[in-house]
Parts: sequence; C-alpha cells; structure tokens
Amino acid sequence: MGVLPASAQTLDKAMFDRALTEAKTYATDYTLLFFCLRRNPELAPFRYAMLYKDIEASLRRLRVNGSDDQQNALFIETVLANTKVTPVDARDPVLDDKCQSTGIVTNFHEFRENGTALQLRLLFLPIKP
Amino acid sequence: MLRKLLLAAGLVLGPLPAFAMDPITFNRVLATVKTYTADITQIFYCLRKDPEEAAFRYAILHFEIANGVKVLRANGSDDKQNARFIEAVMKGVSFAPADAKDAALDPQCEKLVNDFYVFNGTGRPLLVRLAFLPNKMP
Repeated sequence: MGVLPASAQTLDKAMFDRALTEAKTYATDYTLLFFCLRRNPELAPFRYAMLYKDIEASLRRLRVNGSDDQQNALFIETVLANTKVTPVDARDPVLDDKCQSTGIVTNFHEFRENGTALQLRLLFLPIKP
Repeated sequence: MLRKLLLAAGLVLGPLPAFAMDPITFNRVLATVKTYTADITQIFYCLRKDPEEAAFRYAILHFEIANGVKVLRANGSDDKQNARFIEAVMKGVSFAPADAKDAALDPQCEKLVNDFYVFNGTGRPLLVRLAFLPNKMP
C-alpha cells in the first residue's frame, strides 16, 4: 500500500505481542475514560484527536524499534477496533460509579496507572523515536 | 493539572497556530469528509474478506487522517478544527466485519474496489479530495 511507510525489519514477536497487550488494556481503559469525559466541555471534543495522536506517537516508537507495515496495521486495528467513544448523552450508572472508583480521570490528568497514554505504555521498547 | 498545562501549551495536540482556518473553507472540508467516509465505508465493506487488504483498513484510515491533518495545518487550521476533522473521519467510517452481508452493495463492489486501487471517483483518497485547499502538505 502506497500510504504505508516501509520499515527495515520486523519487531521481535515477543516485544510486539507485549505492545498488542498494552494496546488492548489501553483501549479498555480509554473506553471508560472517554465515557467519563463525555460531558467535559474542554476535553470531550478532543477525545478522537487524543486517540489519533496517541496512536501516531506510538507508531513512531514501534517503527524505530523495527516494526513492519503488517505489525503497524495490526497495532492500529487493535486500538481503534477496541476503543469506543461514548456520545455526550450516554447514560450508564454502573460506569458512572466506575469513573469514581477507578479514579481514571485524575489518573489521566496525572499520566499514571489506567490514565497513562498509549505511547507511555510502550516505554519498554528500547529505542526512543 | 499537568495534562491541562501541556494541552494549553500545545505539547500534547501539537503546536498552536496563530489563527483558525476560515469557517467557509473548514465547512467545505467537513462536507468533503462526509462524502469520503460514506465512500470508504462501502469500500471497506467490499474489502472485508480480502486477505491482503482487510488487515490494513484501520491503518489506511489512520494515515488518511495523518495526511489530512498535515494539509489542514498547512492551511491554518487550529487544534479545535483538527479535532473536529479527526472526529468527523473516525465517527463517519464503519468497518464491516468479515461475515457481513449486504446484497444491495455486493454488485457494486467490483467497481468500488477498482476505483479505490486507481484513486478514481469514490476511491479517491481524502488527501486528494482536499486539493481545493491552496497550501499543499509540507
């Protein structure tokens, strides 16, 4: 595909599997986060942009660590297919409680635990972009 | 809050330009996105069982957004407009699962896929559709 930049070699399978696991956990966390932020007037309009930017930054790290086009595509799919962005008018009392009990919004603002950005979850990849 | 400060400084969502793209041009961008997402949703349906292409559908969309944001920025868009653009693309596109069936669309798939491969008609990339913006992608 012409739209996909090529890279020189394939990222080690164990490393890539770990990246996919991180992507799945991130998708679960950020699905909750995006629900919790759905009515936040400052952040709600930026939820898709955050997701896009996080993928883009993570791809840079994957690429410098040797990921190939197929791996990059699978990584993008894993994030996008598993992250849901809730509409502003969504209602779910169970998730409302979860917003409080997990502290995810505070964690997001402080870049830690379940609020950690995807690119920061890939710091185990040795080479920095 | 650390993240809010970084957002304000443009460190998370990219550098802040001095002014926004004019609303008429930006509305044309959004209208273009709307047509693109309708077209690419159909194409992605047609590619859903293609062993080579199906795996790259999300990646194609991601790189279309990346190129689109670059050209928008080159034409003065601000962070809010970029966010609306990204949202319009992501929300507008649906990915049919491999076992999806649409008897009305199936007969059109051969042409849709062919147009996609030659960047023609409904198969034109988003970046090509944004060629009305005067400044090209840096």
